[in-house]
Amino acid sequence: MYIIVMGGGQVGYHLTRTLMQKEHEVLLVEKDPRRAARITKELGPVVFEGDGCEFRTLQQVGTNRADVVAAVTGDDEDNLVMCQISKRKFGVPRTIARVNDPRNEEIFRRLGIDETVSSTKVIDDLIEQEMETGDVIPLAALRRGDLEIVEASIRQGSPAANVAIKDLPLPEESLISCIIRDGKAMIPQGDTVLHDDDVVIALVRANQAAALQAALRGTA
Amino acid sequence: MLQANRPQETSLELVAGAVRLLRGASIPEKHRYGGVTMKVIIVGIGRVGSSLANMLDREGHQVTVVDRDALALQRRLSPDFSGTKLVGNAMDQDVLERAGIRQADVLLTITEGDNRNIMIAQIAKVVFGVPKVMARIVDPLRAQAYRELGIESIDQTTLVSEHMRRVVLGETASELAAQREE
Repeated sequence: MYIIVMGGGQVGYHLTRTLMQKEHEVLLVEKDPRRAARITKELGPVVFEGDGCEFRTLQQVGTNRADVVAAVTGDDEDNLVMCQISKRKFGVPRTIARVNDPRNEEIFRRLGIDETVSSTKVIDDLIEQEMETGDVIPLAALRRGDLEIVEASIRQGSPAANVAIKDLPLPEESLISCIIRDGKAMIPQGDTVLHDDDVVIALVRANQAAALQAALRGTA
Repeated sequence: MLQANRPQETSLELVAGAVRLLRGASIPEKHRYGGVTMKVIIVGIGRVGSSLANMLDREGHQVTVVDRDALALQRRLSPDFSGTKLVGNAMDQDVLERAGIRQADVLLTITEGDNRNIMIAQIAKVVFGVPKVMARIVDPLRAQAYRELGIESIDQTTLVSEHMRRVVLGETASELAAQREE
């Protein structure tokens, strides 16, 4: 794949190095001449000195044949413009923007950026996960964090113990897809009754994870 | 919104007025929006933003100005400016909310950064549905690209160079032509 990384800060530098190790064709675009020269010295001839917001730069680096453009500068507005122009004017199939203010994630999505990454949000999510009391553990985020796979254990005294799944007050967008009982995994039906010490794997819309947690282990 | 059924052309006229202002012409009396007052947000109080803000304020419009620099708001606006001044980053939706963007008829973004203007214009248009939005974009190619994407922009570079070419060179050429004929 041909990947263009816009912005040679910490994120851009390490991203470029990582992608090079995976033997992708990578080009880093950095407008500051000194920084561009320094990275060239360290990583080799993979740096183009120029402003990724400028048409001329985008033409010079062959943006029209890029598979991915990742705009990772420290300025959200620059990342937005780089992605929008790469996509709309150069037909890049996949554009990824770093978002510094997490509130911009939603805006960027509405403005047609395929993917956004907010380190603020990722770290905040991690902290939130740590702080949950441990009964419902997020295992994976699907589709940009919109859907989650979570694991929950049914404790003694849980409101869900000895209740059939179809009778549980589960949130609408959640699905109990697997039960691990005595070390064996099983696919449950609606009339499967949950036991103490069952481990439940469920798929849930991220904003309904709290409701799922309440249904499985009580709100206390 | 002050006038629910305001005529469609009024905001266009305002933009046309802004163009004339940028070209250094004064706005003729008959173009003063047929007595309609509008709620206008101006982001970026540099020379252009401040002169536009002072002018629209004097004409009786409800003007709110937003700039990150408190000093710019203090220094650049005329002492009798009666609109609302707001210090803050207009890329922040909360700041735009405080500026009353939900009731705004027009938003003009004239900060020093093309990309800032582009982003603010898109937030105003897409997130808040402001009826009329215009951004200053100094880079002509970027201005062209965003015009195609539906963001109206004042392309200052082309405007000024066109003006100089047409007016200055045009006048000189006709003077020279007249001299040579003599």
